[in-house]
Parts: sequence; C-alpha cells; structure tokens
Amino acid sequence: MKNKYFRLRPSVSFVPIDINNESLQRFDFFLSNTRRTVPVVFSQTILTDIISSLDGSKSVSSIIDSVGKNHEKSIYSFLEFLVYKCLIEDIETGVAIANNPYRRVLNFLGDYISYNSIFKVWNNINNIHVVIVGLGAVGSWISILLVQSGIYKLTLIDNDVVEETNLNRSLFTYKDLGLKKITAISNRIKSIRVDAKVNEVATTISQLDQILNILDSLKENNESILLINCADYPNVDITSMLIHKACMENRIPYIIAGGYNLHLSLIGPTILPYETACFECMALTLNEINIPELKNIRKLPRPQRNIGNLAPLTGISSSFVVNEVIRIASKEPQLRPAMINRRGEYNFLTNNISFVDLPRRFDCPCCGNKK
Amino acid sequence: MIENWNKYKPRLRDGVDIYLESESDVTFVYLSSRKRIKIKCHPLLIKSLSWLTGDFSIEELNSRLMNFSHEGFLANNGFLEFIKYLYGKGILISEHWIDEISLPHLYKKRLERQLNFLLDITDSSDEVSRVQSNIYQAKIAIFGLGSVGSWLCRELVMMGFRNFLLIDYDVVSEFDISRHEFFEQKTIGIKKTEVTQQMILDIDREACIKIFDHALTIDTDLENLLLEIDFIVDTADEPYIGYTGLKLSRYCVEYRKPLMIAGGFDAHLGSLGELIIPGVTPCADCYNTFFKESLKDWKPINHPVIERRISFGGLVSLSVLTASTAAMTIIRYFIDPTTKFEGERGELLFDNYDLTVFSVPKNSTCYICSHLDNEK
Amino acid sequence: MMSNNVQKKLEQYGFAEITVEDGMTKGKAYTKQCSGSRSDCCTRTCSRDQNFVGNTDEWEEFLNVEAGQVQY
Repeated sequence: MKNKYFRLRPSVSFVPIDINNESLQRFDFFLSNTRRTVPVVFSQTILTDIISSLDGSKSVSSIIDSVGKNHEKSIYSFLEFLVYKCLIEDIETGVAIANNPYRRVLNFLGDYISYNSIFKVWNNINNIHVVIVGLGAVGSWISILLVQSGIYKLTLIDNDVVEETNLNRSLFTYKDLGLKKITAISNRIKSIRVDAKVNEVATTISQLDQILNILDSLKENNESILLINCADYPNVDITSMLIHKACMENRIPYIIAGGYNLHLSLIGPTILPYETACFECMALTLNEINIPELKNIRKLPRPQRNIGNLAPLTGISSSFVVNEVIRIASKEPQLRPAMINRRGEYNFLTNNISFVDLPRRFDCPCCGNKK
Repeated sequence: MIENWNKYKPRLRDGVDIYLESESDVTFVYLSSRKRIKIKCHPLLIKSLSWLTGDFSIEELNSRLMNFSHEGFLANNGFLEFIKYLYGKGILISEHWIDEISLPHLYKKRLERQLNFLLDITDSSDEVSRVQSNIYQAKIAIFGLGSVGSWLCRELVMMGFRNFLLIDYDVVSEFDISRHEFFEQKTIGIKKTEVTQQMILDIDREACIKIFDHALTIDTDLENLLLEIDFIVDTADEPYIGYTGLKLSRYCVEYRKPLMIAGGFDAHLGSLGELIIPGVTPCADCYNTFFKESLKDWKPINHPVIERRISFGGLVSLSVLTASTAAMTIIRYFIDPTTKFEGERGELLFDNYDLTVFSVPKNSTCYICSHLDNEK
Repeated sequence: MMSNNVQKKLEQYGFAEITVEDGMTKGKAYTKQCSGSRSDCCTRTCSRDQNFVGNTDEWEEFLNVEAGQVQY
C-alpha cells in the first residue's frame, strides 16, 4: 500500500454532518452513483484533513511522512477501510477506468467493488456467455443492452423473421424486414462492438435435446453460462419448462424475462439452480395465490387472446433483466442478484413496483431438498 | 359502425374478462378500468359467448343456436339484440376496426399491437382513433439526446410520434457505447441530432424532423424555437437538469404547454422524472420550493479531485428504465390529458429495486404558476 | 450515545463507521428521504463542468434564484 497514490473517488462526496466538537466529528461519505451513505465519526482531524486533500498526487508513504510516523497505524487502517468501502481508488485504476470506453459501467460497479478488484470483476462480466431464447420484443432489447453493458458473447435462439408489426416494440428497423431476427440483432450488436461473438441458432425450442445440445457445446469452452428465457406466446409454457429442465440439469443460472399484462410489466425472477426457488417452486406458490376468490366463478377461457403491447413496457422489463445479468456475471457477493425468490410487477398507472415472494419449496418436485 | 348485422362476425374484445357465475349470470370486467357489467341472460346466450371469436357471422351463429333449441326469444331476434347490446357496450368489436381508423395504412400496420393495447385500456375504437391521431399530429421537442433522451426518443417513435424538434449540440463519442440508443462505431464523431434523425427515419420514413444543434443556454429564445411545438421533453442536464428544467417550465407555464422533465442524470440515476401540466400539476418552481427546505446543513466539502465529469457511473439499463417510465407518462397524457396527474417524484434504489413514489404539492403561492389557478 | 464498539474503534484508530445497528444513524440509502430532504446532493455533487454553456452563477442569476438553491 505504501506506494499507492490514492484519491477520493470522484463520484463520492465527503459531507460534514456535525463538526463542532473537534474530538468527535461526524461525517457522511455519499456514494452518489448509488445514493448510499457511509456514516463515520472521527476523533482525529488528521484523518479528515487527509480525505480533503486526497487527490491522487501523494503516495501513502509521503502522506505518512508529512503527518508523522506515530499516525502510521491509524492511517493504514483508515485507508484500508476506505478501500473496503469503495470510497477511494488509486490513481492508476482511476486512469485505467477513464480510458475504457465502458467507463460509466466501471464507475458504477466501483460503488460496490473495491478498486483493486474492479478489473477482475469486469473481466468476469465480459466473459460470461449469455444464451437468449426468443428474440421477440424483450429479447431484442436485452441483447443490445447487454452488449452496451460489456457483455460480448451471446447465443441467440429464434426462428422468426422480422415483420412490420414487430417495429412497435422490438429494436428492429425497416432495414431489418425479412431478415431472421437473430441476424438482425447480430448485425446491430456488431455495429456496436466489432469483436462481439454471436452464435445464431435458427430454431424454435420444442424438445429438451435441442437446448441440451446447445448448452453442451457451450460447456466445452469452459465458459460461464447464463440463460435468459424470452420465449414469447404461444410457446411460453412449453419452452419455459424445457429451459427449466435443461438449466437445472446443467446448473446454469437463468432468468425468466418477465412479460407483460396490460398496464403491468412483469419483472421476471432469477433462478440459481438448487440455491434459490426454481421454476417449479414458483409455479406451486403462484397456483396457491391465484385461486379465484369465490370457487363457483369460472373465467371464460380465451385461447385466441392477443393482448397488445408497448415499447416502454418492453424497455422496463428488459432493464431489470440486464441488471440481474450484470450481477450474476460479476460473481461478487456484493452484487448478488436481487430477483431471486421473487417476481415483480411494474404498474405504469401508479409508477409502482410490487414484489411477490416466491420462496424455495421443499415440496418442489424438481429441486425439493436437493443441493 | 356495422352496416349489415347479419354478416357481422362478432368478436370479443381482448381487454374484457368474462366471469360465469352461474348458468345465467355473467359479469364482464374491463381489464383496464375494472369497470364491471353484470347481466342475467339465458344459458344459451352464455354458451354463445365462447363462439364470439370473429370467425362466425351472426347468421351462422343464429343457426347454430337454433339447432340447440327452439326458444321463443331466438325466433324474435333475441340473439341479435344480445349482440347489439354487447357491441354498444364495447364488449364486442368490429373485426375490421383498425381499418376504420383514418390514418395511413402502413402506419397502422406498424402500430397494430399498440392499437390493440389502446383498445384494451380505453373504452372504444373511437377513443383509440382519437388518441393515435393526436399522437400522429403532435409536435414534440426533445432537449438533450443523451442517455435518457436518446432512448426516450426511440420509444416515442415506436409509439407513433413523428414530428420532432431535436436539440443537442454534441457529437457521439466512443464513451457513449454504454449509454446511447443510437451508438454505433461508425457514428463516432457525428452530431447526435443527425444520428437521431437517421434512427427516426429508419423506423418512420415519413417522419418530420427539425434540428437545432446548439446548446440550451440562458439566452436561447424559446418563444421562437418552440412556436409550433405541442409537447416538450427536457433531458438536457448541462449545466444541470434543475436549471434547464426551470427555464423550460417557465416557458411552458406561460404558453400553457405540457413538459416532461426526465430523471436519470448523474447523482440521481434512479429518479423517474415528472410531467408538468401548467395549472394542474406543480411547476418546476413549485418542485424547487418544495425541495429546498431541509437542505441547508448538508454540504459536501470541495472535492479534492478537480476534473470529475468523466468519473461518474451509470448503467444503460437504468437510463432505459427512466426513459421508459417517461414514455409511459407521456402516452398516458395523450390517452387522456384530463387524467389526474399528481406532482410526484419516483426514485429507484439499485440494491433491492425499491421504488418509492411520493407526492409533491403545488405551491399555492408560486409566483410562476399560481395565477393559473385563479383562471379556473 | 456511543456504543462500546464505536468507542473502542475511535480510541484505537481515530475513526469508526457507525451503523444502523449501533443506533447512531437512521439508514444506509437515500431515497424518498433523499429527494425530500437531500436532493441538494445532486447540485452539490453535480459532475457538470461549471464553465460549460454558461456557469451556474449565470444561470442562477438568470433564473433569479439564490445561490445553491436550485434542487432537483
């Protein structure tokens, strides 16, 4: 640490709360990217003076020299604390981040990951391989947003062709009409990032073997894999079950990419096989809570129903999925996924999100008590 | 309007749920408004409900019913009366209802799923026609084509808005890879207004786009610039969204135009922004008055690092969330401008996706907008 | 009201983080309390280059608001 040149992270503010008493001063550190606070009390103004001038121009040893060797222990432990709490970074990391085209993402992650691990975590995120089943509305948004977040290895599975009516909510344009959706998205991705590796799989998943084979071939590369189920109506139930089985068998984390229901955008759950509730655990709970209030009321089944959709609802669902992917890909306990064991609904009429808990079930036929 | 009832193929609207409480009691629930209509009717008519998929004409359905039974009411055109009743309530729709909307054919084709959505949440196809026509004609100004502005613009185009005034002075940089909707390697160095214009035209070839590629400053003459504009979006955060918001809000109050100030800027990534309707909601000065209250004692030290602008964090997913909620608010306004929009602020925390929404009251002594209250 | 934990750390190291568990602070994250009472943090931590498109003083004079008062 002696040779590190630390600076207060530029997005972190140091706020005096109560400094009247010099031997007991109260400050807040405010991490503005994520609006979180680290409240601290000080009995020595030496430390607050150090923070106020921590601009990356002085090494730790020179700070100690100027302040006095008797404070060495205090200063080391203070700096370690500041590193641990993501409040400071060394200038070398700061410059490396500033030169990286994805610096906004790195600076955001820096609110959760200490400077000395940030590029390791960034590497984890970069190197995850994301499989996306279904390149409909939500799938198209997720693919592009992932690449804009640093992920560049994708497998896209869909057999459809871009049609005019897709343009109201999927990220295609008129230039894509007639192309396979996976090709259109692949083109868009490569225009963002020339070195993106995109596997295009022109299939509709209707058999377990299909998805198992795809996953098997990916596993050969020893990559971390994550799967996102964006299967659209009418395949949603069949495909979801097959994906669930394949992911559980291979212990691959997967996300059910929500969906929508009129003014509600569903925020899908994240499933970590044998750690959190799985698709079947959730089905059990959902069945229980969806029982009609009065037993003798029957709802008329409407198999041909075609509920409409809007671009912003797709945007909302996909934004939460992308957050979850970043968290899972990071492999950091500080950034564990937030959509495990629950599902969310965003109500645009009230601008509210509500969550339904969907806990792991011991009576689950799939994961029951297994680890 | 149905011209020949016998040839009409009745179709149940997707946005209505049907509950069968007994052999002769049925409740129709409008999914959007939760409005309910309960009727008692003959079991045969209830049975016929599952045939109303738009595939069979009245003539055919009538024969089918007659095969079941020779109830008196059927001979008296009872079934037709039942259908007319349901049609009058908007529970049944004409299968060509979209054709009847007078907007260009290709435009309607592209927007088909949205038109279905609008039918689900409004009361009738006439309403849908009114809403989408207003969208078609509306002239929107977007100040700032950054992380939030670029995605919001995209969503507005996707919802059928097509007359734009784009205001931004900047060019695309390599660091926009993680932020902007229109980012491509080949657009680096090109003006954002130009790139956005192309994006719009790639979705709507007939769109009408005007460009003002200068910064919004204290000297910008809004009266001239926004003369023809119906709706204003503020996603311009230089030097600060609070300032641009105030300047635009004061213009909007004076000229009675609606303004969407979006959130999602540095140090406030998770904020959801607000819609300002002069005289109805608080204006930006009302918001300002509300927020300045308990801030006196909270002042950070001067940051030791001088050049901080490039070191703030953000995620494209959070920008998309802000842009999408703003887009939803805007379309809600177009669906019904008289909706009770409250002054409010929403904030999302990344940790657990907690979203709090709280009210901001109108300032009844606001020196900018309170005179509008007296006009009512 | 300082907890023993905090007291010890202060003596040993000169500083101590205080937490919700200590009872010395209300919470870790700003949200509605934030905009309601702290949205100032945006202006104060704002990343914007002061010299760009007119500095903040100019804007504040133009908008006729007191210095540091504009919040979002």
